[in-house]
Amino acid sequence: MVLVLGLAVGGPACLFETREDQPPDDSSCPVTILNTPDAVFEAMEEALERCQQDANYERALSANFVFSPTLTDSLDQDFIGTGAFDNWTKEVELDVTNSLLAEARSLNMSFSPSRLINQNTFVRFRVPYTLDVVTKAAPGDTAYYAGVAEFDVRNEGGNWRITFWNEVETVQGKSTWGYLRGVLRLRG
Amino acid sequence: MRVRLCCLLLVIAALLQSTAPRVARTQGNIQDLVKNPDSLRALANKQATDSLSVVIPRWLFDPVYNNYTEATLSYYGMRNEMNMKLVMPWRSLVNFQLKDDEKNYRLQNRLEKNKLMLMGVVQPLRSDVNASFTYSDSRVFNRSISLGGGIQDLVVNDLSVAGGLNYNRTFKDMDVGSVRLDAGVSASANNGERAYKTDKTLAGGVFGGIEYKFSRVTLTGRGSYRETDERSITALTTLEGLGATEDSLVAGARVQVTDSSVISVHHMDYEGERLYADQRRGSQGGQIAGAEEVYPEREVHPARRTTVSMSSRLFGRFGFSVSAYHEFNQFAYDTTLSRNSAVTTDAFAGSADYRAPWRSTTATVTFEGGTTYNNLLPLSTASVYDYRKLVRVAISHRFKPTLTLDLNGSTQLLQSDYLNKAENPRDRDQLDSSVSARLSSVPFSNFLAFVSASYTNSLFQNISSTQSQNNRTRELYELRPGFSYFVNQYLTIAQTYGISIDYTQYKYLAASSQDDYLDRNFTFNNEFKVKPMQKVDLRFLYTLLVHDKGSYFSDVLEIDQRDNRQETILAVDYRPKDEFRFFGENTYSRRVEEGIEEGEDDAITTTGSIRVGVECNYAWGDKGRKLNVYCARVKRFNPSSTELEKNFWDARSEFSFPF
Repeated sequence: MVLVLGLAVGGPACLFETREDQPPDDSSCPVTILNTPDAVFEAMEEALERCQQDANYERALSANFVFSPTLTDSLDQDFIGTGAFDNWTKEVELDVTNSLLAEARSLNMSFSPSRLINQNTFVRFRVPYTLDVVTKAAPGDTAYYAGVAEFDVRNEGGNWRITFWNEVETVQGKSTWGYLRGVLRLRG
Repeated sequence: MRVRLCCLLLVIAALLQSTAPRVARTQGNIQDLVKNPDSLRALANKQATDSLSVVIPRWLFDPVYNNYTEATLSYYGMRNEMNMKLVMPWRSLVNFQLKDDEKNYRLQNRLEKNKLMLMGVVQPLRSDVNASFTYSDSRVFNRSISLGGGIQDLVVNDLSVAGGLNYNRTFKDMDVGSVRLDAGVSASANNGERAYKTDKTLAGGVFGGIEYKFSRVTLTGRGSYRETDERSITALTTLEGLGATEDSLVAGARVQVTDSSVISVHHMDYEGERLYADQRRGSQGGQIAGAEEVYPEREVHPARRTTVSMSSRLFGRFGFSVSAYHEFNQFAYDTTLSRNSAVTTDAFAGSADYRAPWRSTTATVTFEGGTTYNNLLPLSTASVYDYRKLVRVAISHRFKPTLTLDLNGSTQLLQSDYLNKAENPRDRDQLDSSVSARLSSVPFSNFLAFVSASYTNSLFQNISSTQSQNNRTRELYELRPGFSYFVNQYLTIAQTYGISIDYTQYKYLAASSQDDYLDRNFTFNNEFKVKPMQKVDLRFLYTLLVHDKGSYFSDVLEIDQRDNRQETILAVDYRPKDEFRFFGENTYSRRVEEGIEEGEDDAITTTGSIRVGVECNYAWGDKGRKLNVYCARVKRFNPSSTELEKNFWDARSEFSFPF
C-alpha cells in the first residue's frame, strides 16, 4: 500500500521531470510582456526607473518611432535655430535616453493614461506624466518635469509599441520631458 | 349489402380505434405536470415520445400568484409573479406569466427594474407531433448614479415571437431493432432594444435526429441548421444584411462488446458564421461610449470534438475505464483580430479500481494527461502550449466496521511552453505532489474521532533567466485531529484542532526579492450544542487561530508577524410551534497583531454583531398556499464599517397563492 502511494507521489521520474531552469542573470532586467497597449508604460517605468537600462525602453519603441515637442518648446529661445527636435527617430530617442541614464542617479516617473482612440491594432492615449530626476552631479537636488502627451501605440506582430510621442500641453511652473530631451540632444 | 355495411362499420370502428385517445395510464400525470411551471412543453413532448394519451378534462385553469420581498444590507426590493396555466378540451396547453421585479440598492445609488410577460401555447396535433408558439416581452432597466452625479443606464428590451413544429416517435419491437426519430422546424422574430442600438432579427431552423438500436450496437446521429437575418439600427447608422448561419452534426456509436465491456465513439462538428453589430471597449462599449462605438464584425466559429472511450469490468473485483478526445475550438474575426483564438486540445484519462479478496481494502488509480495549444496569433505574443500530467492513487482500508483508514497520493506536472520566447519568456513548470492519510474511528456509538495528516510539496519554476529569480519550493505539513461526542439528547460536543506549517524556500535567494520563510498556524474549534428544552436550541462556538510568520535561515526563525484571533458565536433558537421560531445570535471577534519591534504596540481589532428576529413558515390548504416570513434586526460594530452597515433590518418574505 505504502509502495503504491510512494509511486504516486514520487511518480516515474521520466514522466514528471521538470525542465532545467536558467539561473537569474543579474545584469538583465525582467522582460516586460508587451501584450496590451498599456504595457508600454510599465516597460518604460521598468527600464528607466527600476533598471536604469534602455533594454525594455528600446523594446517599447517602434522602429518608426517619432517624437514631437510642444509648440512652446519648439519655439523656446534655447532651441530656435538649433534643429534640436529635427528628425527625431528611434535612434535619436535612444541616444538621448542613454544620456539621461548616464547623468541620472535616480529617476521617478508616473503616467496616467486614458484612451482617446481605441481600435483593433491602434490606440491613442492622452497621458499626463511627471518625471523627477536626481542627477549624479547634484544628488541633493531634484529636477521636476511634467506635461501632457499623446502616445500612439500600435500592435506590431503581437507586441504593442509606441510609434508617436506627441507632447501637447505644458504644466504651469514645470518644464516638459520634451524640453529635457532637447537639452540633452544639444549637449550631444 | 349487409356485408358491405359490416365492412364499412368495421373500417369506421378501426379508424375510431386508431384515432380515439386511449385511457390514461396515469390519471395524475396532467395534474402534476401543470403544477410544474415548465410543464407545457414537457407534457407535449411526453405525450409525443411515449405515445401517451391522457384523459383531458374539459377545462383546467390553474393560476398562481407569488410575491417575494427582500430587505438586506445591500438592497431592498419586491418581486410579483402571476403564473397561469390553462388546459383546453382540445388539448391546447397555455402558459401565461407576468413578472415584475424591482431592487433599490442602499449602499450605492442604483436601481434595477425587470419586467417580463410570457405566453406559450403547445398544441399536440398527433401523438407524435406538436406545435408550439411563444410570445415574450422582457424589459430590463438599470440605473446607477456615480458619486460625481453621472448617470449610467442599462436598457435591454427584448420582444420576440417564436413558433415551432416537433415530431418525436419511437418504433419498438421491430425485426431489425428499435428506432427513435425526432425532427422539427422553428422560426422566430426578435426586436432587441439597447440604449445605443436596436437589433431586429428573423430566425429559422430545422433539426432532426435518429437513434438506432440493434443487437449490442446503438447508433445515434443528429443534425441541425439555423439561419438568421438581422438589422441593427443606431442613432448614427443602420447596419443592413447582418445575420448568421450555424450548422452542427453529431454522430455516435456505442458497442456493448461483452456483458461488462463497452466501447463508444462520439463526434461533434459545428460551423458558425455571423455578421453582427459589435461594440468596442468590451461588451459595455456602446452602453458607455454611445453609438459611435458600434461597428459591423464578422465572426467565424468552427468547433469539433471526437471522443473515444472504453470501460470494462474484467472480473468482479477489477474494472477500468479509459477515454481520449481531440477538440478544436476557434474564434476568428475580421476586424478585432486581437480576439482571435484557436484552441486545440488532445487529452486522455483513465482509471482502474480494485477491491481485495478480503473485501475490506479498495484501491483506485487515476491518470490524466493532455496538451492544449492556445493559438492567439497574429496580434498576441501569448500563444502557448500547456502540458498536463496527473497520477492519483486512493486506498481505503476498513480494519473493522468502526475503524477506517484512507490514504491518498497524487503527483501533477503543469508545463507552459510559449511560442515566442524572446518577447514572452514566461515558460514555467509547476510540480505538485501530495500524500494524505485519514483515520476515522467510532469507538463508542456516540463518539466519532478522526485524525488526518497531509504533506504537500509544490515546485514553482520559471525557465528563463529573466524570470527565474523567484523560483521556489513550498512544503506544507498539516495535522488535523478532531472528535464529535453526542453526550446525550441534550448535549453534543465537537472539537477540531489543526496545525499547519508552510515552509517556502527560494532557489536563487541572492537574486530573489523574497526571503525563505516559515508560516505557522494553529487552529482550535470548539462547539457545544445544547437542547435544554424540547423547543429551545442553544449553540456556542469558540474558534482560536494563532499564527506567526518569519524569515527562516539555517534553522533560525526570525518572526516578523505574529497574530491571533478569537471568535465566539452564541445562538439561541426558540420554536414555540413548528412553523414559528424566535432566534438570536451574537458574534464576537478579537484580533491581536503583536508588535514585533521594540516599543511597538499591539494592534487590536474587535468586531461583532447581534441579530435578533423571528421566522414564520406557514402553509395551509392542499394547493400549496404558503407564507414564509423572516425578519431580523442586525446591529454590528466594526471600526471599518459605515453607519449604514452597523444598524439595519434583514428581512424577506415569500407568499404563494394558487387559486
